[in-house]
Amino acid sequence: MTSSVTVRLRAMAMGFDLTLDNAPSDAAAKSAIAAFHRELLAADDLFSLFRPETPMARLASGAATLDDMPVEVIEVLRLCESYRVATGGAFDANRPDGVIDPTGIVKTWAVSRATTHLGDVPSWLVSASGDVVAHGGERRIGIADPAVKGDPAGSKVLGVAVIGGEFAAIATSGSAQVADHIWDPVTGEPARHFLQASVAGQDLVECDVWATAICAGGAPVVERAVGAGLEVLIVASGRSQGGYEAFQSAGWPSAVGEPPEVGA
Amino acid sequence: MRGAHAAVIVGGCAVIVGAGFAAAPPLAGGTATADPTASAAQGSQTFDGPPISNLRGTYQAQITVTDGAVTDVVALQAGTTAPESVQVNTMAIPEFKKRVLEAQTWDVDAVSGASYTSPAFLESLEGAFEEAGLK
Repeated sequence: MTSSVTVRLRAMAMGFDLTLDNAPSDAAAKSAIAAFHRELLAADDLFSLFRPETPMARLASGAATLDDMPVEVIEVLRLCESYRVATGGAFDANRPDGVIDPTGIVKTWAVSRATTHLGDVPSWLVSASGDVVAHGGERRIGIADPAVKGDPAGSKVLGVAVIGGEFAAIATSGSAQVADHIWDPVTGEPARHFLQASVAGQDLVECDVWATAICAGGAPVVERAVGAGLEVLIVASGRSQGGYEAFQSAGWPSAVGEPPEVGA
Repeated sequence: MRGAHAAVIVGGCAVIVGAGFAAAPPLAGGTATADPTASAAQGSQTFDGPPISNLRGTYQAQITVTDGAVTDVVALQAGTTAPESVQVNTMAIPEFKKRVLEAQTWDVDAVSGASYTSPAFLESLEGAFEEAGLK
């Protein structure tokens, strides 16, 4: 007997798809979903920079100081700082104007907290607008085609990776709508390091941070990420004859066999 | 080099550039206005937007104003480094296997992709318009 329930939750102006398999009861599933959603909404209440009354918005505007901040905000800011050091500065929540903006990790931080409410559910999958985490059984995760704008669900994908077993999470960064449209006509390359970077690991926040850092800092950051024990798939550039040139770390959890290797 | 890059801003940016033109008509027609920057309307002048940073890097726009109208938009910075460094960086991951990936239909449970949009370039562009007295 297996049961599966999938819901789409909204929080932080994003969609979160939550799949619960084999929950002990409908009531248990329902209560897990509610607790999960509450955690996301609570994060929004703490960190939204679009709502001037949140602690983070008050800190950013100077209306409040660090001493006024709830423990969760301090935790996230500490996390940002430790990842700034770990990524050699490629991930940096400090804006030049002196404001600390942790928005980049709040989503995955909130999801990670929310998943602690899924303890009664033996197998689950969370798809958080492009960042994915799973537990209790293998799930097939498509790597989006960077040319696809908006929600890539249902589109063709560049490959499939497995999480929920050896790896728990995959996060992908890249393809900012504006930057992606800036091409260097001399080299024919996009005017950024990579089109897209996907990172697989055990911790969703860590994957998210490194994916962002790799897009911001390029090849030197890739080496750091691999050194930190993460697996990386980089979509480097489009090919004139179609498809993409990509780089894959040795332990990338590919589910669909190896695509053709090309000479360096 | 920068001039060459100017030609490549398309899509979302073009819309904003269009908005810039829309904001500019009083100057674009070559008619004098009370704006103190109107003296700059003689010949060509460039205006740099402020560098705007987010987690993806730093973005900076530069516009060229000729006779009071925006004639060029350049990304001085788009992401952390100059566009010129792209080739160097994509070649420099020695321990990785190089692959060719094609978009295909696979059966998947979820998709991992970038869901992040960067308004930083547009913000910088807005600053350049302001600097030029066009808004």
